[in-house]
Amino acid sequence: MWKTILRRLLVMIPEIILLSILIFILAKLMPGDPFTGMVTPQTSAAQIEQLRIKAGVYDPWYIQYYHWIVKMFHGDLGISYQFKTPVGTLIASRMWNTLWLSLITMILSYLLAIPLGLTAGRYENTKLDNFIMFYTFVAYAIPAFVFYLLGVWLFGYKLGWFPTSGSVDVDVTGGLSYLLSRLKHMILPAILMALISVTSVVQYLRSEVIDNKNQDYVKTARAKGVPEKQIFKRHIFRNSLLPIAAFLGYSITGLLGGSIFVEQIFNYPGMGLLFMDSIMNRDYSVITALVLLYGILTLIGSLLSDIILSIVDPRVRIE
Amino acid sequence: MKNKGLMKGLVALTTSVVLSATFVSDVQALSFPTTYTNHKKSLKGGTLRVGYVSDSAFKGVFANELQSDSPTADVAGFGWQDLFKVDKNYRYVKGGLADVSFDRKEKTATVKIGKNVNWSDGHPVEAKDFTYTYEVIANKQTDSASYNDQVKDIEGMEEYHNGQADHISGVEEKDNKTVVLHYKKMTPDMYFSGSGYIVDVVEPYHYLKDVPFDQLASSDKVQKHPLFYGPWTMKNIVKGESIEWVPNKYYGGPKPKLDKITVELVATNKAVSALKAHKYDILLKESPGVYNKIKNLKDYKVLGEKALTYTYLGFKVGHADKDGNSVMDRKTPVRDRTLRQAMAYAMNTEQLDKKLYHGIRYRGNTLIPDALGKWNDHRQKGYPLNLKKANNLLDKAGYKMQKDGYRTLPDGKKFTLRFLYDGDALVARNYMEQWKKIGVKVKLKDDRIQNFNTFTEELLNDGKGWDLWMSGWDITGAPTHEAKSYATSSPYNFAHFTTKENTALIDSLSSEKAFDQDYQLKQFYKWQAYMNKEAYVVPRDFEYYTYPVSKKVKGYTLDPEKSYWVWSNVSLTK
Repeated sequence: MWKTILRRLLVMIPEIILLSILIFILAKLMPGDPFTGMVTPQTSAAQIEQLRIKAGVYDPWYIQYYHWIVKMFHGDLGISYQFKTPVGTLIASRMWNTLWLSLITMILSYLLAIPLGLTAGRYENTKLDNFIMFYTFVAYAIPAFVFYLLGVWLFGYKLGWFPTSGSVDVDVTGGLSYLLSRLKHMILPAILMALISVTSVVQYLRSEVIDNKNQDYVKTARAKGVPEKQIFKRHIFRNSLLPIAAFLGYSITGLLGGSIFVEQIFNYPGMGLLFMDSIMNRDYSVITALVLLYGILTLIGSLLSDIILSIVDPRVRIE
Repeated sequence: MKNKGLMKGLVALTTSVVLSATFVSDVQALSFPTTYTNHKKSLKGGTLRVGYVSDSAFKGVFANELQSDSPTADVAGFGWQDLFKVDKNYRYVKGGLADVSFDRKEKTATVKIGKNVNWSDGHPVEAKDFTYTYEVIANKQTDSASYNDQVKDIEGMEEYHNGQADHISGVEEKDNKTVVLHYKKMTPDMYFSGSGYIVDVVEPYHYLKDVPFDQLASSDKVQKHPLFYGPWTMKNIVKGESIEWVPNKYYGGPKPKLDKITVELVATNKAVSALKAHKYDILLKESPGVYNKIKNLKDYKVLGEKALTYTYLGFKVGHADKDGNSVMDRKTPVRDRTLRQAMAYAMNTEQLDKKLYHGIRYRGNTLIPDALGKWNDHRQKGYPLNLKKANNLLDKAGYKMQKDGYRTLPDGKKFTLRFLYDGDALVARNYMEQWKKIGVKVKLKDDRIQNFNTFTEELLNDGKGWDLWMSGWDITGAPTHEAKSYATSSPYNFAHFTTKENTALIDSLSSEKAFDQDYQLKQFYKWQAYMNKEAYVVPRDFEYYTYPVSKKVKGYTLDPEKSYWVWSNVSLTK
């Protein structure tokens, strides 16, 4: 298996190079540039043009790509045109915000989805199952931003239970109060995201449980007189969870993706909002770094998922 | 600091208002008080909670010459006070943290900084800070976008910019608190805030001198721990989200009455709920959609100021030559003044403003917004909706109506105009319907609404295949500055119209005679009348910026003559 993992990692190198070229070209093909928004009667068109030239906007794409890649190998992702901050520092600061929010969301989401999916599958076609299915259909159908706004209105403004903006109170400094403030700011968006993102896991688990209920090994267990509770606990549930484990790799790497909707509604400065901002403002250095990061994370996520699946399911081997 | 204007991509609204096609004659523009008078006794201290409506994080480059981000400029406004006081026409007057006086004969501007004006670390604001600020603007390593034609008018500025001199010869430090700026030429614009000739906000030399110019914008001293000489200084910042301000104990003006101000970004779609939940005492940058939903909240008073902004309809009649000068040579039906005027009369802007913007926007009468006070010629009517007049104009000029409901050109040829637009589809559809009513066929360029970047590229790069566009400008308090955008050599004359009369009028605004304000005003009125008559660029609407203020707030005002010390004077009551 180790050989295969190493081979997969090596194959990633040309994939990432190809991806970086594609991202770079696509970013440059977008109309406008980071200086487009600076055009006003109060600025000098000649000065803006000078800034463009200095930034290499008019260089051929391969020259710009060469400069970018050489700098990247020296650990320099460039400077954000908008934030005037090194891109690495900028992404790192946003990454932590997103990582914590996504982690809490993922934990809440699985805590909610696994029992719901297993229950729905076990009590198939009962009122309980119908209720869970109804919830998943509603969660799937309702536009995420509407759901988030309703949540903010109810829990943030009407009931006043949670803060509604930002990632931390501005007047807390360090220590436990800082951590608690961070947590307090993350709970509402995390709960709302978790509530709406459970659909696929619940449905998938339910189908798995229903499928497994009719498998030969379950019939055998029943024939041997194993109690029904034990059949579900030791056999059906365990086997039904295998495909969910396979998602885990993507989920781990997906933690850094961020959510544009939730971050915008909560003014939560994470990766999603940064990505949106950088596209709107043609902040090339940030766009290319982020898309490349997402691409790399997806490749790693795929590998991780395969590895996890091969560990939890002895029938699967990476070859 | 005056809000630097970004080209206004018109904000797309999510409303689905259907406009009635009938003429509404009784539309009245709203008017707002600029001050809320609270007679209750002020409480001692307290925290003012300010919400700032924005859907993107503020970038947080706290050096005025290096940032181009409106939210940063606005949230830093508690510490970035303009050094100079202005009157209601944005002309410099005495009585601010610094005063400026001009000597036309010597071609100088002399700035005297008040003796008690200090940075938030206690160091006095000095003449060297002025010199340093101009160096930040002009040094190529800082990549400042503020290096403009007005700054270049200072003696020795270009030499410094090009690396031929190690200092700017035209910035003379007479003593610690006095700076004399030597200009190549004097213009009447100089007397106005925002003209770009004199920096309104300076940087602390003693604090930043060790930071290399190329690292200034990204330095912690600028982004995390900036100094301010205004009434408030930053205690804590959560980058992109919120700032906690505390009084600058070394401030040279009246001592702030509050203990603390917190300013926090709030997303547009949450602003209404936030206000209804009394989360903020003042809400800045409210949008028309928000205004309509909170205007009747009993605990708030909505104040308003006429904004330094306007929108317009332009007709592209030429192109820019290799030197960037406009040449009026396009073969397009919109070269005909009658057609342009008829299309302007067909615009139902008042109706649209009432329906879509709840009266916060109102039809403009000239290309100089009435926010500029006397510089706007109130006698001008502009182009109020008048379909009958529009049809008559076209009939008389020989544009014959055909069976399909569209007119032909006077030579009998059919024509379709192409419309470049990056705003709300509803607005575009509305105006195209209006033009259809007078038989003028208008289609969107590429049959779609453009995105902001494509739209701007089309304008700046003299794009082909379109005849008219709609856009807007945020402007400064210097009125001639605005008019110069329409000069033959201006890169912002997107219509590329050029006439001898326009050139003569624009030149006259900055001429030697124009130092006489009465003459300048007269010329200004002539220019506005001329622009209206020619209709190469037609004013569309002006706007109010509205600010819901809690009735617990005392001393808040938007009046430009009274607002200079506003953040010192604001207090809270029971």
